Amino acid sequence: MVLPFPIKGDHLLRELVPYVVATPANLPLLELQPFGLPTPSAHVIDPLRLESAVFLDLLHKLDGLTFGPEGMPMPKWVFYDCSELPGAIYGLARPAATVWPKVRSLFQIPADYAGLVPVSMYVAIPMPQPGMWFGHNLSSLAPVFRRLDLVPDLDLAGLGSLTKGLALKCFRVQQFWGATQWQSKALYIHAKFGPLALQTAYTPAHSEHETLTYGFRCTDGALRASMGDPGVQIARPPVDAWIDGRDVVRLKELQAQMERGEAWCIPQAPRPQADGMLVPIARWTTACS
Amino acid sequence: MINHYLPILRECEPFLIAHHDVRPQLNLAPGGMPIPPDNVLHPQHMANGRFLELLARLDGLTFGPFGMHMPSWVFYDCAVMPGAVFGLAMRAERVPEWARESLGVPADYLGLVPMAQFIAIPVLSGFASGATVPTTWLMYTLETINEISPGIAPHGLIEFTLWMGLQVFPIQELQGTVQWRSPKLATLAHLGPLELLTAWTPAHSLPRTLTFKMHLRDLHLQSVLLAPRAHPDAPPPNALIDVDDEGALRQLQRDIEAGHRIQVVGQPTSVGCHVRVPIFRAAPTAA
Repeated sequence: MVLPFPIKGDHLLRELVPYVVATPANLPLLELQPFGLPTPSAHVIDPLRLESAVFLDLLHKLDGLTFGPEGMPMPKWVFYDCSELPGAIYGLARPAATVWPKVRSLFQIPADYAGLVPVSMYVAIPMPQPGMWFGHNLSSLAPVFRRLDLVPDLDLAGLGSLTKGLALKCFRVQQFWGATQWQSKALYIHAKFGPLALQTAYTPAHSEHETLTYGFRCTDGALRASMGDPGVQIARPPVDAWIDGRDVVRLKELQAQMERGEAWCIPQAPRPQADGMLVPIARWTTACS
Repeated sequence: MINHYLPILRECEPFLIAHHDVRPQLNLAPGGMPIPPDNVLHPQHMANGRFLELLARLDGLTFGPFGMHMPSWVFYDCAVMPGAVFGLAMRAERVPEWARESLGVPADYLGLVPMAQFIAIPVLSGFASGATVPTTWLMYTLETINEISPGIAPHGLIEFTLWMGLQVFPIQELQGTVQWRSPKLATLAHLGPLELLTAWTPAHSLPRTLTFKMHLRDLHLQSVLLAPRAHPDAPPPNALIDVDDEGALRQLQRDIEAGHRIQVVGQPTSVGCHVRVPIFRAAPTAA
């Protein structure tokens, strides 16, 4: 399987296969061949059926492996009520018959299981405006592979970006919104889609108040850029300031500015520091949209 | 029948937490009773942080014992950003001291204290046929303080919150999940026949959860407040399901997967340890 444009994680599509989790009612509204990449009908998982239980358990384990260490693993009921029923899950997987032995052991896969083993997933929820979605979860085994040296010969770099790009195409997203922490490395992935409009800089409604709410328009160009297509160039405004996500006073100040009507964006990827990272911000201009 | 519930509005005020992009799609005068503009709150504004903390506290008190407390990040990502929160709240000075303590209301807080909330989020299938406003919504949460401390808020709050909440959102098809043993199943059954999408749900933290859908009509809304013994839209039951019989629930699930149309058509009844729910089972439709 290949995409009709060059991507960074090209080799991943030789190792992994796509899957979708969606109810029968939601399924017709999805694009099951994002950028021409087909999702076999056997890889469409119906969360309302008993036979899906093992795969959905494996997804829950994938989430735990990804977010457990950061303290935000998703309770199983959240998966069901907030993802599988209202929206959809898209990801890449490996058939159990060919899954790597260390991964089989990590997931504690039942011996008689012959289905898919998820290696990544992207979850989003529709918002009340057509084509507008809120991103909810990006899980990838790539960091776990690196940390535990699971398959030394396989480089999973780019898996998160590839999964999110394909998922947003599958969900037919036109306008995306999401939330992440100022200190999260996921910002490196999110910034690949282009400048990120900021909706909040300090978010008391979230468990981590130092959370930002960001968004972007989901054009094919943005999605291709996120997957590493070198042929797509994205205009980015110059950086006005750099934010340390631990500087709560500065975050509150920025939030207050936005509540007064000022528009800001994150124009490009963060800059790594010895003890974290700095996130660039810029005034929202036409170059951001 | 609304008159029986109006005393609630002498003690409680309606509130709405909704992003400004979502508000135009909502009815800000459910049941003809306007939500006071000051009680329409933006979920992203720092000034509303304390109220949101109290809402999280209410959720922790009601769903925590089920192991289903909603972390704040879930509330933000999965509830208040894709959907909205409607509820009823009391002014802090009206809340008795013992209740303020149990609800974690700070001594210097003078604002609204939530007593009940109803959260709904859109379902993708609600955009089928090119709808610009989603017609299918998932009832994400329905809870009141009366579930854990009936002395604080007026009786009937859960029915009234559901009745108003259902009118805030442009719902034609309502979906939801509820545990077979939950008292909320009785409240939902007042709405009318609940068509089961699942009867045994291993994808949920509590497999003894059912997933339902129903098409809402005025008749259904009214019947929440009337609580009829038999809903006029419900067919007579032709089976009783023992909600503690895992084997029976699994069989019901297999029947649903085989194409049987199964509805919850009335109130659960209990005798001793046995709780039974009346259902109507129709033969599978021809493909």
